[in-house]
Amino acid sequence: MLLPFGPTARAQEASPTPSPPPVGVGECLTCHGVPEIVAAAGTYRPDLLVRTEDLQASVHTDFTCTTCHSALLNTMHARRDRARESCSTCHAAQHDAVELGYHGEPGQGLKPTCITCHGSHRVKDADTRAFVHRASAQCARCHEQMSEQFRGGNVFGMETHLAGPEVATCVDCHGSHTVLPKDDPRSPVNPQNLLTTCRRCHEDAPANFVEVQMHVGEGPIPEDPRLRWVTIYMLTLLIGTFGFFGYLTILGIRHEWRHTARKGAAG
Amino acid sequence: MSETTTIPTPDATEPEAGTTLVVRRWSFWSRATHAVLAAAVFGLVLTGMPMHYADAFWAKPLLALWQGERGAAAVHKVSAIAFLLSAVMHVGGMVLAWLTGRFKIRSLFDKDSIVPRWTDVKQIGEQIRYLKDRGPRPRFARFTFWEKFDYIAEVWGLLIIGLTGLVMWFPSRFLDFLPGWMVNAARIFHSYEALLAMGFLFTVHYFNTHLRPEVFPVDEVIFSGNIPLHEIEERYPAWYERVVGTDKVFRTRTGTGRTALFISGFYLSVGFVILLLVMTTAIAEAFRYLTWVIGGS
Repeated sequence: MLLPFGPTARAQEASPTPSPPPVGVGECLTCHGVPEIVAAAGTYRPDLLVRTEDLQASVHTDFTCTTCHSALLNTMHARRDRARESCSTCHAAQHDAVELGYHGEPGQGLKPTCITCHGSHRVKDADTRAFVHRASAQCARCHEQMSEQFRGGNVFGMETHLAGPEVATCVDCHGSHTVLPKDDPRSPVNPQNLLTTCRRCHEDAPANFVEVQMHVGEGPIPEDPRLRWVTIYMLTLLIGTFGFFGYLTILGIRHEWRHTARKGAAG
Repeated sequence: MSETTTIPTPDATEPEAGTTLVVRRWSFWSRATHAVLAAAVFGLVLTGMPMHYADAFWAKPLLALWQGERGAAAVHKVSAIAFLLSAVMHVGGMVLAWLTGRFKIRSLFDKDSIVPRWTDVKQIGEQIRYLKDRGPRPRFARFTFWEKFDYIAEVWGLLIIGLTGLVMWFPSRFLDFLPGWMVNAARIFHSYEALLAMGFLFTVHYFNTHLRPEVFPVDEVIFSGNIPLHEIEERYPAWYERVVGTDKVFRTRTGTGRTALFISGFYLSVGFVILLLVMTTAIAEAFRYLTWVIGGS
């Protein structure tokens, strides 16, 4: 059910609620609920359309538009990176965690905000493995190369792609809200912390467990020279075997066909 | 057919209708091992291929058959145990036969053994000349060179796939004594060797057994264990010379059973479908890789 007054019980205990003049969902949807709005500004803006079914599928069904879009009331249609401020009203701890990491640093190019991974109008329950898997697809939207190198060559990569809910994905090693570069000593993928990170799942992992490569290579040929030779050896074996037996089979079929045809002609 | 009746037979009585002179080619234990192996290979292929080609259009529908990737992983592991069991059955059977004196190590070096000999190398050239109508058909012994290759490729493939599979199943145990990159190498060996094994089994192996025009759609020999004498004469002339007239030849009832037809038909059609799907994807991928290599990105 949609309440005209935004704040939830959670919001009330978290911080003083923003007090804009109450604006009902219905009022906004007068414009933002009709499909024609995507072309209203003269350009194609699919993000302007808000679907009722998205709002109903969200965990935030009891919000109104201005619970999050409070800034809109003053500036009308502020930029989307305001999302972080709005979400932090209730989710302050997660907001601070993001600020600690690389994704929170200002002025370093395009950075994700809360809604990049969590969605906006359709916010899903984040405490599930299914969500973690969906989020890894969001990582790939920016970290395309890393994602390819992960998916291409290692055991987790392909199963992750199949959305195996318990298989490790990006955030299991790199962290979710606080993402730090590898050379930062606080990063879970920093060489010093790597074994601890592995052991979160592989409890009995020996010390050289960290040597197993996770981002193997983008194409068919891995970057590691040893793995490169393994691949070249197997490809040679594959092509050689199928080449030789393919040749014999084609000769055999031709022979069979010729002699059956000849027999048929004679008989 | 008419020649077979002129061959001296152990039983001088009038041949019964529906019976043929045959020689035992596969023992009961060999056939049982083959049955376990075949079932294991299908379990492995039908779960492993969609996991490897996760991007392919057929991957998710095929995984739905196993209730998703969790079920597929479970079936893959059960099949892996059956796969290794077939190896244990094979080696165990040989050891047992050796202990009871039915199998002698010396027989490995017989002309009718499955172990490769120099003759096999010569017969590769002879066979190519024969298929090009430039020479007589090679006088094969009990196993032709491609049948021997089939067997050795199987032993090699089972060792590689089995070992690398165990490495990926229990990485912590193997990393106690292996360097880390070996786990990555195991993954590469495992998938290419699987592709090689599947490709070989569902083409070369099939074409040389059930898909031969003379026996299509089922080669009885893997079900009954017996091969008709007239077939030996035609396909394995050197073996024929050694068995004809001996007590190895016996008369038995032959004919294709309904069960054999069903099993063979199932394996052939399912194998062929999955082969086509994998080949479509693998060839598309090869093209993509080729452009990647040429593009040099």
